[in-house]
Amino acid sequence: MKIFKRRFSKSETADNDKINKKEFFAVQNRIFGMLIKMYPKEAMVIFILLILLSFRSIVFVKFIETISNQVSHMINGQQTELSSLFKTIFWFIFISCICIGFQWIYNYCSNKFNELVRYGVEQELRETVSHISYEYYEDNTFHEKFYRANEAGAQMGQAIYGCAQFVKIIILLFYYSIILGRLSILLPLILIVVDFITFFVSSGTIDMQLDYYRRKVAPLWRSMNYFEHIAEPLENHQHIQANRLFSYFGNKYSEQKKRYLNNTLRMNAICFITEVVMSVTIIFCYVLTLLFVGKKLVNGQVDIGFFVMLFTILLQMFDVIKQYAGIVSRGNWYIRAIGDYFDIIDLSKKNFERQEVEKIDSISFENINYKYPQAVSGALSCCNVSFKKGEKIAIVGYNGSGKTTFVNLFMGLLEQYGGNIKINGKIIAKEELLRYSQNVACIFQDFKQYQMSIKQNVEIGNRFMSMSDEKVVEILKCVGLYDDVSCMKDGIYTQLGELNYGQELSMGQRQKLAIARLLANEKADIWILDEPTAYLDPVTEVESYNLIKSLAGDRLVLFISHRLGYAAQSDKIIVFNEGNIAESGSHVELMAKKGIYYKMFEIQKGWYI
Amino acid sequence: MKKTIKVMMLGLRGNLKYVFSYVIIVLSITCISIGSTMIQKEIINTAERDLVTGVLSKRFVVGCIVFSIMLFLVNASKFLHTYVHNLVQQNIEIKLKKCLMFSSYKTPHDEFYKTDFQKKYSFVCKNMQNISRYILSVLNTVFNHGVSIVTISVIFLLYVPELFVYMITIAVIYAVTYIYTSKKKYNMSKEQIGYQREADYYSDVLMKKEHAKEIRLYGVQHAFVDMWKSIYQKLFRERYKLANKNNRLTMLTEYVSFFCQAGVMFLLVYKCYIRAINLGEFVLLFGLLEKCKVNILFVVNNIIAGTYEVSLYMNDYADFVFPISKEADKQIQECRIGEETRFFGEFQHMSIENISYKYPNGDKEAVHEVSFNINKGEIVYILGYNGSGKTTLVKLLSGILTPQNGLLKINDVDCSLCKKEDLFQYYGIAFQDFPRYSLSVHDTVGIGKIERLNNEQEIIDAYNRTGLNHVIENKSLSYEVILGKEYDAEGIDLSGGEWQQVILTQAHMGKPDILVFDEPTASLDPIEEMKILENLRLQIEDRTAILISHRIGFARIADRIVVLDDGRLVEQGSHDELLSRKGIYYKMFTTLQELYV
Repeated sequence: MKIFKRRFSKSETADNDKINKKEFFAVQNRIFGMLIKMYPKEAMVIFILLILLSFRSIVFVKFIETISNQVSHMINGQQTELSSLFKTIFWFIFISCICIGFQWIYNYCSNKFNELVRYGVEQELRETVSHISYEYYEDNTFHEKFYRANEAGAQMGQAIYGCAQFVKIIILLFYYSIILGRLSILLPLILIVVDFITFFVSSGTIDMQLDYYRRKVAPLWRSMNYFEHIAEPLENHQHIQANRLFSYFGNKYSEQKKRYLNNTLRMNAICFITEVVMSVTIIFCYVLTLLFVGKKLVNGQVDIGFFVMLFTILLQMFDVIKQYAGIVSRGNWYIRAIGDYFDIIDLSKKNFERQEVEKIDSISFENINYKYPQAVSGALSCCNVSFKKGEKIAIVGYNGSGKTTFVNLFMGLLEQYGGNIKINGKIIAKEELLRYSQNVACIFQDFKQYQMSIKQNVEIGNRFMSMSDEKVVEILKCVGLYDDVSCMKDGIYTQLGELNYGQELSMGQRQKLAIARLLANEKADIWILDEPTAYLDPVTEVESYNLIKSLAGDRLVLFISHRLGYAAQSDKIIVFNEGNIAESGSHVELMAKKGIYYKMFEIQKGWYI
Repeated sequence: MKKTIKVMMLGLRGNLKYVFSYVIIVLSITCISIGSTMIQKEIINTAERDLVTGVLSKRFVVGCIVFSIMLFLVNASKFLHTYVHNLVQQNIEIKLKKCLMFSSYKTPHDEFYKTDFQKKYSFVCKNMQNISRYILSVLNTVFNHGVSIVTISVIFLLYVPELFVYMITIAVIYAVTYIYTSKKKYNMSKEQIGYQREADYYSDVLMKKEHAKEIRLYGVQHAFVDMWKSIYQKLFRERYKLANKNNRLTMLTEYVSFFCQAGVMFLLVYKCYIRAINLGEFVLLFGLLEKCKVNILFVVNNIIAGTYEVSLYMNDYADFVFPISKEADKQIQECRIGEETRFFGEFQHMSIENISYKYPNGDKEAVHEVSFNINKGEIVYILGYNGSGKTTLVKLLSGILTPQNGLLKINDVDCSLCKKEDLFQYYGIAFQDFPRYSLSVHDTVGIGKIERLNNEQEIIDAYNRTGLNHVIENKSLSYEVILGKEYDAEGIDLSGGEWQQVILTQAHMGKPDILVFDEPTASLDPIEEMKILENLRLQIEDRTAILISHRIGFARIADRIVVLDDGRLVEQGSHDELLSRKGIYYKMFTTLQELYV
């Protein structure tokens, strides 16, 4: 405990600027604001119902007072009539019935409200994350935040509960102060002061815990979660089975889980001392109040009913405050997720809508540098190159030499580059680049097969603009996939993937599907093919290469491949080496130069001749 | 019910020490809180007496102080409670999750291709936490609320026995309602699992890194958001409808139980009237009415309805996990990495006799009656068009898939006679669809031969075989750096080619008798590719290798080339033999050759 305290305070001074002491209230306020703005009607109804419902405990308290008095009188023989007693009970039943009715409406509303809010939160998150710049994905801090923000949908429900509790405490406090004010003006003052101190101290601990959570617990949670689900995907299962990895991952998992547990326990320990201190102060006040009221009772200034009521009030107050603090200590406090959620949805969204842009006739790169957020050295340095419409360019190079980064620039995925990109002779601003990217079609190295129908898998290349069946069939025929597709039961409407009892395609078929997707975007001026034929058999490969070539027309085609036989047939070859363009020129020129390209080509040729 | 108890015992076994201390803490908290109610009664009675005498008695002051101390203890011990609760909870979770991992590990890989199995599996995985939370909540409920109820009923029986009837009545009412509602809830979540998976899939497309580039390039975010919305709305409407229905029912129950309570109030007042109880007892009993209701609600909700709901999840879990043999239990508990076995002795030759395989969802056989032999020291090259069953054949040879027909023999011993683990130990496999684990470089390579993970020399040997050491040193990384950014802030991403090199190294690890490379060099640059393949003969020494690749030029290094077409073996022989046959191989080879002349 001591060691931990020391460690904690040390690290706290280290990144002091990060800790925002008011975070708790800031997030709370924003949640309130958002809820009221987004769902004003529901929020109002819930708010009013909450106020009405807190009267339930007030009625209960009042009832206890009256009935105790009456019973006490009855027992002492001062009043033998049962009728007034029954009248009190009748009133109580009546009001309670109404309260249960309110409770019913409240449950109904809060059900709807919870679902709506959750839906809104999750939708907003999905929309934002899918629209932010791709560069964030290269940033580790973003991943961590995003991971936590992902929980926000479920946590928002907790937030409403927390807010409700907050309102309830204020209402009850107000009412109880009036009751206690009957005795002495000092009592409500003390009560309010003590409660507010409790409140502020507990929100202070939340901030402390929050900070600890972000630094020590959340990263561990990610790794624990990762190892928890590691055995679930299909390809992992086969690998784990074949390599007998159960024990290895079993150990990893329990190790991570235990580390996570330790840190969680430490995190909870933060609030322990403050909580004990709080409990001691509150209870001290309560004893004094009890004794004070007891004294008054004996002096005949208050009646026995009031005394009994006071007991109930004190216990209730204690419970309510504890409940509120409980949201914190039990670990399902919502602010940790929602704070990060707000951070994520505040990121600037980009516009991916289709807009009219001019055709790209030429594109040139001047002194382009690029460095990934966490990388030590740059992925690209000082790239100077230009392309014209109709050129067929081959890009070759060693593994990890910056080829993929280079094409990412083409697609407007990266923005924080240095240097200038000119399109049709004009310098294009970094934000503008994305607009032009709709004229680019690409097959990625790790292209995806979507778990939808084959038709949709093709249409996605054309931004899901609906295409006629004939058109899809024509494209599939072009890439040589139609024979396979027509054998399937539902033809082009066959579902792919295991999601809905769908069909599995082989790697080669998937690759053809990717080419079909490329063809679906007829407007594209630039085609980028990032190792598109790596998984095709030689015959199909040559066929699809020729196919792409014949269909390309006057488009600019960038072709990344390790199969240099194709590079030989292109107009120009660019050789990347360590983020630089090492050589460029036609096949004949480069062969004469006897540089990297020559070396690679000769090696590969050796296999076939 | 039997299964539920079995699963619970499974979770509790091995954690008895913690469970015991947990129970003690829960019990003491319950005792203190009941005690404080009794003291409250004493204080009120004393106050009433003091009212008559007009002097505040010592008894009152002491009562107040004791009451406050007890209140403090209840609150302070809650922290201890949370602490032990978390501890036990996590231990149970670890135990159950490991059992699940173990049984999925033991499940034949074929099962994973069945959609039904996948659905069931993900259902169990999703509800793991429900199960482990439930086990502890049962303990908590029994020892906290259960004990409270028993004490309350004793108090009731002592003072006003009629109240006991009230207790039983509301217990029955609650039980009926909550069992009904939880059954509905369970049925819905089971029905929704398919849609849930679909919604999760769309979320992944929208938010995961692997899809990020594509959806940005295509600009199809809106379409996917819309698809996600429509599924989510469907789920949400159903959930909402059911919640409302359940809400109506529970509220009705609430009314009924409230009227019971009201009736009881009249009874209490009447008892006071006939002087059967005094004021303190009246307040005590009156307070207990509410407390009793809350406790019963809790017990019903957690034990009766909870058991009903969770026992259904538990049944699924139990179906999946049980039976666990003693041996398996030991393995789960200890998680010791197995020892090397040489079931077939030194690998000499393997014969494949008429094996056929059909995928559960497929409509025709992926591999059809294939037979050939592999001898020690050979390099066998498997070729064929896309979808001709090459990968399936390799998975059959290595034992990942079990052939429906035909025999697989190593050194003339039938492979179906041995445990799969024994067979797997003969192989080092680089899959085409390899998983990219977020582990350190050292471990990623080491798990290729898990039995020798601690043998540093072997790992270094493996690095040297594929030149991975040069890659790592060129990037000036340490071997302990975590690959991938799944969870590690300092993790690094490797390019496709670099990953492939890591996976090849993994297969080389520990000098396996049979190396299997499925598309080993698809994303490697020509120079790395040559280094790896040209030296293959040297590296494998006198061991065996099976290669699948479309880079047909490398078939030359093979002793034997096996050509598959549509799941059938159509040609086999050496490079020169097959060229002279002018079959599929000839066609493929010449097509590529044209590129280079």
